[in-house]
Amino acid sequence: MLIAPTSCDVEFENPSQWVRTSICLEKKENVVSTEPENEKDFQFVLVDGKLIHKKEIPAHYQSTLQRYQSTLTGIENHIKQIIEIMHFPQQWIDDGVDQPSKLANEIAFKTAIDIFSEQKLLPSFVRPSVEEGILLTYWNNYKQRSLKVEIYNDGETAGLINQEKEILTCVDIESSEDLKSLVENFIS
Amino acid sequence: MKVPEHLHINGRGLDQNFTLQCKLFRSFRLDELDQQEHSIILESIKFPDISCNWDRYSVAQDIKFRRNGKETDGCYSITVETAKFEEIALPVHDPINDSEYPNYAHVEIRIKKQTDPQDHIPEKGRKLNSKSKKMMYRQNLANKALIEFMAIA
Repeated sequence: MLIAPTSCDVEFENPSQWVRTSICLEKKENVVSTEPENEKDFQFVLVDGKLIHKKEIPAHYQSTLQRYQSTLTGIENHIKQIIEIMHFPQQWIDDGVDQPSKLANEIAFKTAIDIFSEQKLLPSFVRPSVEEGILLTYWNNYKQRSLKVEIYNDGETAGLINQEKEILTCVDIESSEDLKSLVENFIS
Repeated sequence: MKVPEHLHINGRGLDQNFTLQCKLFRSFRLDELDQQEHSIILESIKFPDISCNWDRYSVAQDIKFRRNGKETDGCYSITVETAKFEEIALPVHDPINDSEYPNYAHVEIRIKKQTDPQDHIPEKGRKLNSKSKKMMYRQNLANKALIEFMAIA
């Protein structure tokens, strides 16, 4: 049995996430004793109760794996659509809150693509913010941890990691290195 | 909805004597509830000049007696201690003298400056330049918020 989502409706689920989840399940049972140096480098999946390298996955499971290696274009379209269909609450309009600017939309899109390109993570939520901008929320179910990246209408960006109602870190994001470091903290 | 008598100003003056345990009530809509983190969603919290009702002069249900208040609104509370997080802000008693929706219990959480003299009452409209500091303040508020009663669809 291949431990991975198999239905098409979760096609855009993060592939590295389910690989990691499989590893975590194994760890709980003390089957795996070695700690990988970098979670990003996980290349193993749980097949019929054994951890095997993804290159050695039986042929009849290969198509499932390939579905998760979606093209970047597909992901780009997916994120673009999410940003386009964001719901802006009527109450905020009544209160005079500005809708996300074109600049905020562009930076939010680029940020989501950068995070996907680096770590194969997709946001759980993309929503407008009452602070006038867009908030990308990522959720790490295993660690019960969230990553929030807020892009404001003036183009400034800030991010934080929150775990079980405690803020682990909060930073201004002024470069791609700042973002990369924050995302690495989130998955570590 | 008729505003209850205890929210009317009735000639009462300002009271800035908050204790750290005092509660400040705020309204929320059902779609502002974070199902994963069991709190209020960060993107619904605007800071500074956050409007609240003080529990010394009101009860949680009173949040409905405001302009644009709805029967479906829920209510959460934070303590004054939370409002003063990292000495970034201070609650200020600021009754609303409105003929339709008077509110003696109204409090605004405003920016505190390090250079403010002791007992200085911060004015409305101050800004916090650091986006990350502002985000951290809002997330802390969400983390510490206690649901008093649930919003309905």
